[in-house]
Amino acid sequence: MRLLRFALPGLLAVFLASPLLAQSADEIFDEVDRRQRLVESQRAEIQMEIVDEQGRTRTRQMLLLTKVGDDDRTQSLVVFTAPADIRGTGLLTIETASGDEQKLYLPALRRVQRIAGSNRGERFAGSDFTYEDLGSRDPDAYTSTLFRTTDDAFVLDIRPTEAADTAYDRIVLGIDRERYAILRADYYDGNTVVKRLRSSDFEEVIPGVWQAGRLVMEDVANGRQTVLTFTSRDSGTALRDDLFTERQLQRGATGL
Amino acid sequence: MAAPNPCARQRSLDCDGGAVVARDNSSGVGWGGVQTLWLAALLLLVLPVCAQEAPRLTGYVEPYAAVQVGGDGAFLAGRTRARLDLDGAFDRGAYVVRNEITYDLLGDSLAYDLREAYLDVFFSTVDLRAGRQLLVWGETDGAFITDLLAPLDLSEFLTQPQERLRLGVTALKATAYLGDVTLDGVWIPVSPTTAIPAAGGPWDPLPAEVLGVPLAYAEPERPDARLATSELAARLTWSGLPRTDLALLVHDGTNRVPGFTKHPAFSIPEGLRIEVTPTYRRRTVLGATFETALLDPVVLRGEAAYESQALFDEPVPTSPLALLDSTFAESLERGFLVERPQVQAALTAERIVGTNMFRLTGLGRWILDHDEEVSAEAFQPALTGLWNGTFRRETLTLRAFAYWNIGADLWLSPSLTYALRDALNLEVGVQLFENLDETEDTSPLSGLIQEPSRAFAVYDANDLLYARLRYSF
Repeated sequence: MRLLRFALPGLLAVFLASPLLAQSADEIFDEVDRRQRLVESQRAEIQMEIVDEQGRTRTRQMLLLTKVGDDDRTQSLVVFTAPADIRGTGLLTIETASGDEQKLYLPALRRVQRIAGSNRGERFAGSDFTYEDLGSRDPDAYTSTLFRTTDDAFVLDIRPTEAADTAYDRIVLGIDRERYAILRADYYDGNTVVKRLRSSDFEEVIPGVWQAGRLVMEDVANGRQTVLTFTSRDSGTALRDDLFTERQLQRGATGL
Repeated sequence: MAAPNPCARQRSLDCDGGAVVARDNSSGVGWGGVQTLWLAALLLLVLPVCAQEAPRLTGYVEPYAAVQVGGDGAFLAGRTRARLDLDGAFDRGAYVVRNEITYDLLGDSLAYDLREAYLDVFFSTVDLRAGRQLLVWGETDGAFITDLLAPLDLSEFLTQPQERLRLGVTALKATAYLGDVTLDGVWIPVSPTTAIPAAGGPWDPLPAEVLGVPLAYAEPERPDARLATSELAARLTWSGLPRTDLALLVHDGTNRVPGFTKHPAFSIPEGLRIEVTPTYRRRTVLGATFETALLDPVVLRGEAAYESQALFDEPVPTSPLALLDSTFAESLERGFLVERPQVQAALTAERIVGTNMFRLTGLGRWILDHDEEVSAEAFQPALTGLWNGTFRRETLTLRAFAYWNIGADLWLSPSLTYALRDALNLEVGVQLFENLDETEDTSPLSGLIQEPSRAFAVYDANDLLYARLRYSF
């Protein structure tokens, strides 16, 4: 469970609605990123279903709080609420000037421990999402090309520069032309698609900002997939700073 | 050296249908157990009514079996444990009741334990917790250097899961959150006692007799339960440095792992025997801990503690000639148990590579004012290592833990846990104890109790294979 790490803002796809005239690839990608940061705090209940190659499903449920501070640094608290054997396990992540502070709470041991920063390429809680997939991408670390424009989407081909911290050689993004939300993403290793993300059930979480309510990440090579479903989400209420503390980490979901 | 030595048994056997059961002074279904049952029932009835947040029932069912490897393959344990927890929240507070019922297949006995029952009250910068609770301090696996407050369940030595080793203690705890400073204050009205192995059971480290004289255990000796003998503890944690926590702590109370006095006794019809008394005495412990992730990807943890009056065994004479020694009378009077100050320290380095976590810890115990009256070595070094790897998308966990008392003995504990489905886990593993210094005699009473550097050697014949199935709900 130490592998949990949420580098939000904006869990996963984020996404907007105001129509823009600017149509270059860089401008589209910048706009997605800019809108992504408009969500300053969010409380979300999430269900994660991990489906293996035999079709067996494991289910995780979690509560996620995120907040972007005045200094543009993100705080997040993840508390697992199911299944029962991991209930109460929590991870607190606070971005600081000297790097991420991460504290893990294991309720069985009643102990809060600091952990080292996670590798962005590691899988999140055994799912098909890596921490990189769940975090934001800095448009400045990629070169973008507008591949084509379809009826509903801009199709961008983004490739990492040396500044990018990514495990992929190339990502092809489908971005909603109306909402500037990521509808789909194909992740490449060389010229081979290794994973596919499909987003649906979009919700306007604050005026002009749309987020997916369901995300399906398919591991093409291994025939597996993970489905993330937001069962509830509140982006309109500012979260208190004292929720992102060791005190709350030990309380788990109590009072949240 | 930091590992506790349970090293004692209650010779006043609790027999149930001829089976020996462990005497656990902090739990069980004696008169105290009946009281706790009533308390638990009361809390179960009353608390949900008071609650604003819907009460939640959770728990697990866990069959467990352990069989001796080598020897005659005897069953060392066989039981089913059921856990039922109730928790909920109300405005500015919460409550928790954790119950545990264990059916012991080998002893055909049933035991109840109120693991925890407490109320939380939250204020703006202060949390209060009152009731029976687990108090966990400290930083080191397998050691209890600054983990001073919780009594332990050592009825099966250290072979139970780490989460199960600590017992609840009735206390009032206040925690103040003052920016980068957190201050814990704990008041424990009555000093708790640790659960020790059953006399004559597989984890009893003592021989049944010494030089033909049987051992007989007396009731524990501990301070009377009065306000003046209640315990106080405090911990101040400072998190003002980047990615680093520092803490200072103090505990004024009794030792959690008892020392043992030994006196000859004679009565009719029992005859001559050596009376062994588990002993808890007041002492003060000053400690400090730190934890830092500054050296990312390595996390460092450390702790150290000074104990004013730790209890140590004196060598018990095994030859009649020793009775002529001029110091024998003094040793006899104090029950072959002496008090000395000691310092314990540990430093841990943790590194995570992919889904593998590695921990290496160096430990040391220094007995101050050491002399020939203390049977243990003046300095006892040890190393522990832990590897925990998760595979197959966190459905398979491999774990290996090793505790090496350098030059003395070794404990190895590898295990495999597989998630058969959500919340259903099967764990299989072995516990191996090795005596690395065959020149040391591990059988006599002398030098055994309270000498942790021999803690594993005494169980050399107790290597075991176990399986544990847990369904959580």
